[in-house]
Amino acid sequence: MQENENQMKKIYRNKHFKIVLKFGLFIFFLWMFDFSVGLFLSHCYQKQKSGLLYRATYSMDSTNADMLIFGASRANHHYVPSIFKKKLNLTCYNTGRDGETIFYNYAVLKSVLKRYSPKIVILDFSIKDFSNNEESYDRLAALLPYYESHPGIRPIVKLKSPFQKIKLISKIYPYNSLCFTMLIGSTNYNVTRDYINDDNGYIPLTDSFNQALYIDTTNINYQLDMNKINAYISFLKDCATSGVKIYVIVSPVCVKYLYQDKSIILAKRIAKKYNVVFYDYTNDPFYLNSNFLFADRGHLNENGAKIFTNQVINEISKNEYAIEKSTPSLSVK
Amino acid sequence: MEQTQILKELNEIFIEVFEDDTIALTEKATTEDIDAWDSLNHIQMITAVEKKFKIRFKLNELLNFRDVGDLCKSIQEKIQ
Amino acid sequence: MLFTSITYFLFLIPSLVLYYLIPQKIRNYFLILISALFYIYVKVDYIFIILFIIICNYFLGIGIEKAKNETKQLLYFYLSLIINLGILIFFKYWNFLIINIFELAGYVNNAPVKQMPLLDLILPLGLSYYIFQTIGYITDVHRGSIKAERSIFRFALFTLFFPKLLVGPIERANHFLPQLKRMVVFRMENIIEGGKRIAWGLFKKLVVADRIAIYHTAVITSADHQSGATLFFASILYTFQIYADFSGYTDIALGTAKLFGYDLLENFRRPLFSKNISDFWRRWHISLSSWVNDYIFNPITLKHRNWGKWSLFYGLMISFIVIGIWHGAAWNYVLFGIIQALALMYEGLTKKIRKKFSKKINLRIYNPISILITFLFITFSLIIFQSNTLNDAINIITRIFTHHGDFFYDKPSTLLFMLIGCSFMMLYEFQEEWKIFPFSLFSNKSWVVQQLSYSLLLIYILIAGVFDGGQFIYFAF
Repeated sequence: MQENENQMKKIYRNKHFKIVLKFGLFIFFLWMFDFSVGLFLSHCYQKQKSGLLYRATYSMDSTNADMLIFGASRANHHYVPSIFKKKLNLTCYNTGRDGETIFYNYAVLKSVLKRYSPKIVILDFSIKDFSNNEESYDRLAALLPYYESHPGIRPIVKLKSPFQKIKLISKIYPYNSLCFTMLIGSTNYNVTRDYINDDNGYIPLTDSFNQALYIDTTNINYQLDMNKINAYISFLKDCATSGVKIYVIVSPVCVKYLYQDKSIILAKRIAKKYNVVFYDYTNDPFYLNSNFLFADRGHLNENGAKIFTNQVINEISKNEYAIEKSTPSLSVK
Repeated sequence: MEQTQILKELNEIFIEVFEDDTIALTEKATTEDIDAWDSLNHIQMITAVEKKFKIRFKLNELLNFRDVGDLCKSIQEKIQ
Repeated sequence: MLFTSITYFLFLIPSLVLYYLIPQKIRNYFLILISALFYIYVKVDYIFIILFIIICNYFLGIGIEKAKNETKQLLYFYLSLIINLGILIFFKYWNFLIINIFELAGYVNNAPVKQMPLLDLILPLGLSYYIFQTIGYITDVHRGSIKAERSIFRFALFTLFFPKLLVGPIERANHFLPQLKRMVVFRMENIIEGGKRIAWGLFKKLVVADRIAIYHTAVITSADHQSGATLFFASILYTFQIYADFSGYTDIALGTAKLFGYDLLENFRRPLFSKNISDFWRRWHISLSSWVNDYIFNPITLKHRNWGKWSLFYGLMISFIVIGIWHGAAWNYVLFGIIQALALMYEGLTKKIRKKFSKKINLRIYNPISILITFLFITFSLIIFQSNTLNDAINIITRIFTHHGDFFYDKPSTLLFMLIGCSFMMLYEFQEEWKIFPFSLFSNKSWVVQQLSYSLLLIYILIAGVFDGGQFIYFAF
């Protein structure tokens, strides 16, 4: 009787043991593949020598430029570093990135300020930049590859959802949707693509826009996003604490607005509160009448960018000169 | 009439309506078993059956037939 | 609660563990509870509607069965139809009906449309599915095909069961109720089968459907700037997208049900390999098309059987208009349905001719061409289905044939993601349909090979699935 019982117990444990073993093996396979593929992807990401991903890494980890440009696509296509170098004798890097938000800009700024303090920072601001939408949080994915190595940006990444930490258990997750971009990025084909040859982060647009001016009367009411506003305030504050001179600029678009956008109104007000210079080129008649300077409705082409950059330089020089008269903080030659 | 006789007469109707000489009905046969049994043939077959046996099916009965056997049973009930 | 969200799995896994820890007898009550919580999480108000439906139909079902005479039985039956259809029509079609009635009146009176009593109603998710399921149940009781369910709890679970609550399949009383009567025993096979099914569902939804959706949306919203070739390519991909989306979601539903020990109806049977439209509707959204077949098509055609062929045409037209409008309150859905009906009428009329034709040509040529033609027909039907207005659909279709221009594909990686995901999905289905390869990875005899295959599947989902909205396609105009 006792022997039967022991045998039964053995079989019972054996069956359960098998289930646990198989399950454990499955988890092991998952972990093993995730770890190795994740390692490979991370290596690919860091090995990028040009292109979008490279520029993001360079902005956060390598640049030492005296002057940094922050913003989304308008920043990326409107401010020409070589002209800043020539006229102001300041090295300049353009960290602007298509489709990104103040969250991204702030994350890059934090990573930069950990390493050094640039002399001047330009933050390009656009209409509706404080609007509340899900897409802005989805774009935080651009920061995922830096989550591990840049603890300072983690609170920003986690804004997307409380589950990001769970997803980040996977080593592959930060590189989701990037694998082909990276693999292609390391081929010869990629090197010959023209948008890769950037001038210190700046990408010139070559098209010429010839459609009629669009007059915007819509003025749809939208919700403001407190997180974005806070990120903007932190951006300004961090610059001040690190002794960085910051300019917030709303660059030109080929649209005439018959109303004032509330994001811009708010950004202006906050800038004033923190003594930050704010230039607003919305409805600037020169640009509204020069659609040939634009590549599309929202972006200047390379000719427009050159003119605009020079205009910004003039404004900055005037401002610096005025300040220099009162406080000898920055010398512009 | 006996079930087997009904089945035989049914088979003739099927062969004529479906235009298929190879049909050999069993009580368990369903639409799955006969290639040509589609919606059009179905209603033509039912009309032919009603004409042949001089009966009329109720809608509920028609919708509840599961196989040829059910059809046979219903025919048998109606001709008595 | 999206089936592809972490929230869903945080809900699912503890529920599943608890389910098998508690005594067998109370498992179904537990399921009712978590299904109710699931629906409440989606939106609090919805639970009241479904409870109302459950209670009414439970009592009416028993009433129909117990009714002493036929008039009373019919009365209860019609009452349930009025309640069920009334609620569905009210929530889903009120605004559509009001707009169309008023516009028609305005057109007739030659006066502009004034204030319409439009309501700001939110359609309770899943309503179309469980109302149809309930109507099916009541009709089955009325016909005497099944016995009315006497346990209100079982009936509640039949309606409320969360895996099928939001996107179906539309269950049948004779398929699901008997399962609810059995005691569920823990079986490892169920967990494994369920898990595998969910993995495939996640793959189809995240890697294939959501990926194509990014490209397709970008192309269609800028349709006026796109070339015919691009629009055609996007439309073809859309067919794969909608299939992957719906069948992937259904896979997760069926896989979840399997985890809890239940088998729900299959909804898809490799529809993209259909050789004709009749075949297609036997393979696509099977629970809906068979429901319409049993409760609309058959009754209509049999009732008017003395009309012969015309009974069929009439039945087809009504059936497919119902299928069309079931999807939503808009004319493009109705048009979609009508087109399907016309195609089926054509196939009905030409059946003999086509059969003769097929016998003359080598099947190796005839079959692939049939599949291709059917696929193209579906693709063009879907252009109408997904357009917001008829004008949009006509615009896209004419542009496909007239507009020359550059082919837009965004970047090479976009194409690679879409094509690789799609090919992998179709390769797997190809094998399921025709069993060309003598070996199998996902059903291999060795469980080690199976485990490796499924873990690689999950890894690929991590690499190529669309999380956080994925990569965006940026347009500048």
